[in-house]
Amino acid sequence: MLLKSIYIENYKGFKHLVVPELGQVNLIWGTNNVGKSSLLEAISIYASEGSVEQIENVLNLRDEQFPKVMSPSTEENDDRLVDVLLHLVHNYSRDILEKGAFVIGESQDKDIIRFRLVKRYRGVKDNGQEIVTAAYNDAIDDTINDVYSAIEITNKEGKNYIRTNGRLSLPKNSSDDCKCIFVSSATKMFTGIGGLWSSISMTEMEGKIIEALRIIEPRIEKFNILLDESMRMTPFVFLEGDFDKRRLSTLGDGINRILRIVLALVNCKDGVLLVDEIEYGLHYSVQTKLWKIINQLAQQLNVQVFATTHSIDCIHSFARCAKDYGCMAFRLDNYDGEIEVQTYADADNLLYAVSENIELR
Amino acid sequence: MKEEKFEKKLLLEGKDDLHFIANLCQSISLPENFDVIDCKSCDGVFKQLELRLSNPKMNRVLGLVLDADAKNPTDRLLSLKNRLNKDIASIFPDIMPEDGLVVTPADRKRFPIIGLWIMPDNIHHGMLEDFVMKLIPNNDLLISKAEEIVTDIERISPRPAGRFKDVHRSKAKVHSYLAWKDEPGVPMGQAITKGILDPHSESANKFVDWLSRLFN
Repeated sequence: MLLKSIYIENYKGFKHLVVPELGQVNLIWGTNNVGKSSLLEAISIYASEGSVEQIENVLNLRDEQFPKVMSPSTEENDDRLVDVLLHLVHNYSRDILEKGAFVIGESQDKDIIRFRLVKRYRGVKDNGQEIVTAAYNDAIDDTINDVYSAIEITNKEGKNYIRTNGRLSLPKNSSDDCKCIFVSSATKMFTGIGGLWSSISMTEMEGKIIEALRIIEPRIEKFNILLDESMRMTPFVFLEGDFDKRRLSTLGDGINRILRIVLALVNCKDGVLLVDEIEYGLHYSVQTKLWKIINQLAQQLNVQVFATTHSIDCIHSFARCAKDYGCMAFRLDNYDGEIEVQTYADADNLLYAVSENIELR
Repeated sequence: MKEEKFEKKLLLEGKDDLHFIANLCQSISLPENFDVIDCKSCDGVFKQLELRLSNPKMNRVLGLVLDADAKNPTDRLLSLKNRLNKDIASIFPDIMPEDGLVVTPADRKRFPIIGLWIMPDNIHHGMLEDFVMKLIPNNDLLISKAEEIVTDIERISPRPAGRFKDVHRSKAKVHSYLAWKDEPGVPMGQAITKGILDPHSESANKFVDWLSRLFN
């Protein structure tokens, strides 16, 4: 299991959040806008070890972006960088940004990634070869030119820096990255489906995908992802009794949702899967069967799963599985701007609450 | 399962408690601003307490009614304190007040008001039925008769097969009594509405006062 616990400081709505214990499969609920999606984002940033790519993904989710085109004015670039980072910092606070930005990890002292706004410039040593990093608020000698702002990312491998000009320092750890996939609540056809399918097609996992799709349509005999007339990779199925294959989309949105979730899951071996609004488009009876498959695959492939929900049905169906697998459930609450987490570690208690109709949400 | 309407809850050990207390509240017109919940056992009450404490927004006031049974009410209070986190438990007293307990934590956002009543009267051993019998008018001959007969039955040796358990003596007594009233076999709750039990007796008033302090 990748993450044993969660520790966040100053990331978005979280001033100081501690989740002391996590399970293999974790369900998080809470009222609208309490920070469920932000929590998933934070986990994705940590799981990808603070990779720039993941930060860009997170920004894209909310329609924000690192500016790609560099302005001739360093000051303007710096302002844009700060502007972007402000979107990720608690309360959009410049003060917090300049003093220490945010921290995401597993505990206060170790296994943590720090994000800090800094100033950088070429120092006088080594004929100006050395790049000096200073705290954002430090006073810098007037004689020094070309001072620019950057985001400093410190993880256990070391430090990396981001500027807004496309010339990003590459993370020191690249291809051995932890696999982390984020499935959002939108059900539109996702890019990369071809790649995800290719990596598991003709393996044991192909059978698991079909098994999952059969939760909704038991008559599926064959499944494949093929190029359609517009040259896009599209899921197709062949149903028992049909004469020709048909698009999976003809079977509704729910089955597409299941495909997205399970296809992502089987591609996350030893990694982390994040699913926002997992119940979206799925009937209660389907949710129960889906949880079972998710739990089995998570255990089999050592994937740590984090999902969010609004639905009481989803909590119920999750609770019914929780006993047989290492599942944990959490509720986020907002107490006057401070977000806190309530852990439901005991599967028995959760099931009891569900059977006695005790309100948990 | 009845849907919960209020953010104030009264947690009870069983159906008998539920019907009796609901009838009592109705007959003295106590404002209905709390949900009455049958937790099906004493353990169930504690379990529900634990779960409801984790959702303070939906459970702003939690009242518990437990039977003392053969234990000292102070023991029951201790059991409750052991189930609460240390900060909350520290504001609870060490012994049960005879008027019932109401504790208001400082942080009302994260913790509910907690109330505890231990049947029959927060002081003695016993159960709901002992409380019920305190609502019987003093001069009622039939309750003395019930006492006589229950004693006689207890004296039969060898013990008749399927005889009531010793701890349930009060149940045997009160239901015997109710078997001889008009109409025979009326349940304890309905006995209030039918005028057999007095909802304004001193013991009933104490309990109702506790409910008022807790929920209003």
